[in-house]
Amino acid sequence: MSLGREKEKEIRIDDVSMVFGRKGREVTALSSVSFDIYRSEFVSLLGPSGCGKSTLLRLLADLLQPTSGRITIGEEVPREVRLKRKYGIVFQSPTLFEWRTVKDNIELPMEVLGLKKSEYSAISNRLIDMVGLTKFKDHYPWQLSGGMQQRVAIARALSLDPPILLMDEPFSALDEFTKEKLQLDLLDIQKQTNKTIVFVTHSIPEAVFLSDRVVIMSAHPGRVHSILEMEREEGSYEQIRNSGRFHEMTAKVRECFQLSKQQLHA
Amino acid sequence: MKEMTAMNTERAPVSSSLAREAEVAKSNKTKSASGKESRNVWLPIGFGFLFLILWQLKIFHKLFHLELYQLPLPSAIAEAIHSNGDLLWNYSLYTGSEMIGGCLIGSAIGLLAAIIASFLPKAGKGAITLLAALNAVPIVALAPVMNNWFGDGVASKIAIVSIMTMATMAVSAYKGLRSVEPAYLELMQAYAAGRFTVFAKLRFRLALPAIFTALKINMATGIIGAIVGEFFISSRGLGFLLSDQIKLGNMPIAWSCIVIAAVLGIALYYLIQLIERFAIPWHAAQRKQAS
Repeated sequence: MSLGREKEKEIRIDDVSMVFGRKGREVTALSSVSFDIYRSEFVSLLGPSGCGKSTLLRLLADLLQPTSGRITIGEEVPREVRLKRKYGIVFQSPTLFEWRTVKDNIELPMEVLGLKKSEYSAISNRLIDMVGLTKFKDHYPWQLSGGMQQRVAIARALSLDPPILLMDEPFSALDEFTKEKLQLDLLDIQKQTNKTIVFVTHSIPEAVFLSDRVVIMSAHPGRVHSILEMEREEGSYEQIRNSGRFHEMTAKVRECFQLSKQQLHA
Repeated sequence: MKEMTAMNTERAPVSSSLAREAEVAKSNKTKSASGKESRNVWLPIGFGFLFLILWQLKIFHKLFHLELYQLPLPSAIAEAIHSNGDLLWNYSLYTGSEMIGGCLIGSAIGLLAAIIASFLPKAGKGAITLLAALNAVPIVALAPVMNNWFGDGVASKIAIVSIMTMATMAVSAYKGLRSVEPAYLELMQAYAAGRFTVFAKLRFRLALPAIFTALKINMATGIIGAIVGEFFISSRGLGFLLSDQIKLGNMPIAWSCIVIAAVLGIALYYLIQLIERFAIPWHAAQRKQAS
C-alpha cells in the first residue's frame, strides 16, 4: 500500500454468501464475497442499492449470520467480537435515545457493559470535546440538528474505544455542508485513534475522499466487482476536492461503477 | 454564505456555527409552543362559561322543552352542593377511592401482563388478545356478579373497575413495549445488551407514553365503573346518592353528584397528564415540536 503502513490483516471475509427468504423464494443478497481489511484502514463499501453492502456490514457486526462462508476478525468470529464489544457502530439514523442527554447517550454502551458512572464520566466528556459538542452535553436529541445528532452517534460508537468502527451510510441523510464537516471530522478522528473503519456509502466522491480502499459492489446478486486503492492527500477540504488526483480517482471509481452496472444488464 | 467559504478554506471552529443553529431552533420552538399553550387553555374555559350562562338563562330548557325539575339551573345545583357539602365530600372520597384503587390495581395487573407478554414474543401476543376480550364484558353484567362475590362495600367496585381497566392497559402497554424501531434493537444487540437491559433501558422508556395514555383512559373508565357499580348494591357513594335522589325526585342533589363525578374525572385526567409531563418531558417536548 502506498501509505507504507504495516499490512496487518484485521478482518478476513472468506467466500461469504447470504441468502434471505424461505425455500423457493430465496433472494441472494451476497454471493461468495472475499476480501481482507487491514488494521487502521479506512475501507468504503460502495454500490447501488441492492448490492448487499449494508448486509455485509451487518454480517461483520454479527447482527446477521452468513448462509455460508467465514468471517474472521482478529482471531475471532464476529459473535465473539460483538460479545466483547470490540466494534462500534453508527447507522444512517442517529438512533439516539430521546430521554437521554447528549452525555447520557454517549455513555449508553459503557452503562450496558456495567461500568460505574465515576469510571466513564471522564471518557464521555473527552468524547464530547472530540466531536465538538462541549456546549451541548446536557441537551436532548430533539434540541440538536441532524448533523449534531450524528456526531453524538459517532461519539457513542467510540465510547468503549473499540479497534473497529462500522458505519452504515452515516452521512447520507445530512445536507451537503454538514456532510463535508463530518467527513473532515471523521478523518481527524481516525488519525487520532487509528481505528479500522468500514464505511458503507452510495456516494462516489464520499468514498474517494475518505477511503484508503474502495470496494465496489454490484447488485443482484451482491458481489465484489473490484477493489480500488485510493491515494489520500494532505491538505484542506477544498485543496483535496479540487486536486487533479481526486478527480482522477473519482473518474476511475465511476468507470468501475458503470462497468459493474453494465455487467448486470448484459 | 460567509460561513461556508470560511469552512471550505480552513477548518472553521465547529461549535460557533453549531451553537447558532441550535439557538435559532430552540427559540423558534419555545415561542410557538407557549403561544399555542395559552390559547389551548383559554378557549375551552371560555366555552365552558358560555355554556353555563346559556344554561342559567334557560336556553336549553326552551330548546328541549324541559322543566326546571327535570334540569335544575346551575345556581340550584351550586346551592345543593353547598348545603350538602359534608355528605358530598365524604361520598366523593368513597367513590374516588373505588375509582383510583380499581384503576391502579387494574392498570398494574395489565402492565405486568404486558411486560411478561413482551418477553414471550409468540405466546405473548395471543395472551394479550385474550385479555383484550375483557373489554367486551359489559359492566352491567359484571356489577351484580362482583357485588355477589365481594359484598356491597368498596371491594366489589374496586374489582369492577380493575377488570374494566386492565385490558386497556395491557393492550396499550404491550403495543408500546413492542413498537421499537429495528435500528434501536440492532444498536442494543451490537452492544451485547441482554433482554432485561433492552427492556429497562429501551422498551420500557419507549412504552411510557402509551402507558400514560392508557392510565388517562382508565381514569375515565374508572369513574363509570365505580358509579354504575354503586347503582346496583350500595349504601354509600356518589352513584348510590345519584340513583337514590333521582328516585326521590330531588334533582339538584342528583345533579350535584353528576357534576362532582365529572369534576373528579377531569381532575384525575389532568393529574395524570401533569405526572406524565414530569415523567416523560422528552415526549411532551416532541409533541409540541410536532404540532
